[in-house]
Amino acid sequence: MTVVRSELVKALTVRSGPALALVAVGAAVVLAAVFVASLPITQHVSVAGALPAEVVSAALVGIDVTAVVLTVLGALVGGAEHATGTVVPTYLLTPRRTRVVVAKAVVVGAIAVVVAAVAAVLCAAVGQGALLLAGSDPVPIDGTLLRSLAGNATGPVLYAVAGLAGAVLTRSTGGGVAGALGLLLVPAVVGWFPGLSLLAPLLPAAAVHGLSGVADPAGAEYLAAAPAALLLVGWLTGMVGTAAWRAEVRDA
Amino acid sequence: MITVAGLTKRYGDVLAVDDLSFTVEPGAVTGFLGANGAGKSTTMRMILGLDAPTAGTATIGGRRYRDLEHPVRTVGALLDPRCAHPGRTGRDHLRWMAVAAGIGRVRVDEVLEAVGLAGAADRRVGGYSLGMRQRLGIAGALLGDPEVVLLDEPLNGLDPDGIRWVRELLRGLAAQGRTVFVSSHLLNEVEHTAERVVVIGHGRLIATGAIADLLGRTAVLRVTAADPVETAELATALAWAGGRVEPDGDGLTVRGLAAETAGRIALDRGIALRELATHVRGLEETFHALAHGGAA
Repeated sequence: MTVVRSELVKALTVRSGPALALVAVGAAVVLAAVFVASLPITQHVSVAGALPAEVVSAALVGIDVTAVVLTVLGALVGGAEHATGTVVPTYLLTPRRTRVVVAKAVVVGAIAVVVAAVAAVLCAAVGQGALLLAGSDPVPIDGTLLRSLAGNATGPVLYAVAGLAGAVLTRSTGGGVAGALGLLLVPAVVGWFPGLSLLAPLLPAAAVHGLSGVADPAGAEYLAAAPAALLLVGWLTGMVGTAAWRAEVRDA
Repeated sequence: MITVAGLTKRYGDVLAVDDLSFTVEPGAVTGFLGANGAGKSTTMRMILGLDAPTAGTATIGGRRYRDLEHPVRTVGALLDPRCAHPGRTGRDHLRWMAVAAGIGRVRVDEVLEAVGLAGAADRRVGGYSLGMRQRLGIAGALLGDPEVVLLDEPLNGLDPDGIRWVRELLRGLAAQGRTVFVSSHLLNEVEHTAERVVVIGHGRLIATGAIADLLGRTAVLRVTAADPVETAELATALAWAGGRVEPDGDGLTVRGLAAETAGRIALDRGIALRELATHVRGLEETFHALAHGGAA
């Protein structure tokens, strides 16, 4: 537990951590507003003419920028240790490096959960506000909406941890960001090759879409909520486990 | 006590540390000497479990570093003063370390005061001079009040007052019975600070022991017979006893023999001496003599 607290102190005592968290929320809200305002261009329908659920869904796309910013934050937590040499006192204080990597993942994950949840709520609020301004009824706050918010918030958490794991594996912030963004792009690449569509339900995007309830039941990547949650846990465990193994076997 | 046994580190074709064995005893400052690239830092990193040895072991109190129950309370180390995030304040740098080690905030303030950084504790490390970073690193090493202290080039970047402070600090730690192991390329400083040394070259052990003994091993005798006619006989006798004898003006320069031995040889041969003097080298000369095979 002391290692987790120590990693939290580290994350909060450099400007980049809190600053990126604020940017992740602020940018999501701005992007949500842009997506809602551009509905007449992108969907050829006004806010007043669109289904309320479509407006809120458009606003929730703003969370994608939260995922990108939190990916950078996660990668910084892992990569800056090597760039600044802080990894040396870190491993001297906690020679069992798996504990360090797991503690970093817990801290990055916790920060990402809070930031993504706030961003999701604010993005939905942007959509609801736009509906009210247009004279439409807002989307009722029920299980469907809450599931959508929770599911959408899992994406940034997953990619933040992916950024961390990539940075620990490559010992660089850039490597972490590139690795996580690569993971983000895998579904598109898989979509280009018909034979690879069998892999779609195994990808992290399938877990996020399955949890948020936006996956098409007839689509290749469809997963119900429970298997989606298991898949998410599997990806998180696999990424953190691989990073921890690498940290243990390599010289510091 | 630090015990290094058969320690070896190979990077591809490069043998950085080659079958190194030595011990570092408590209650004394032990200097770790070697030219740049001799393998000092690699050895220290292996002692601290940061790098895995290719062969051999390094233990502290009989246990590998990673097996220590309370690593920071047992060993305090400074390997590189740059190992701190430039965007974090000095106090926060020590704070996360203290939290990880389960040490209270009061101790952070204590070590900041002890190293003379209390006034700059809330400035970001990126604005510190190298000397201030050294002090911060030393503060980190002392945080757990450890029994064993390892410092790699702790004098780099320090002004004369800082060097004097480190010297007194190390002596004080050793006087308390702690094990103090310090690498430095400032040989004169080591001579003033350490009582024992470990000398390595190209990753191999060259010499280890008390500084006074090493200086004696590389001492040079100046021996001159009272009657120049007897110089040749004296040279032969000294060489036969194992001395490396060279003519030097009207006398001889002898390496590898103690003055008492040389005097007794002359006495046994009935050769009167006009001069028998020991020239003891400084640690710097001794180091070069050892490193280049000029000892004994």
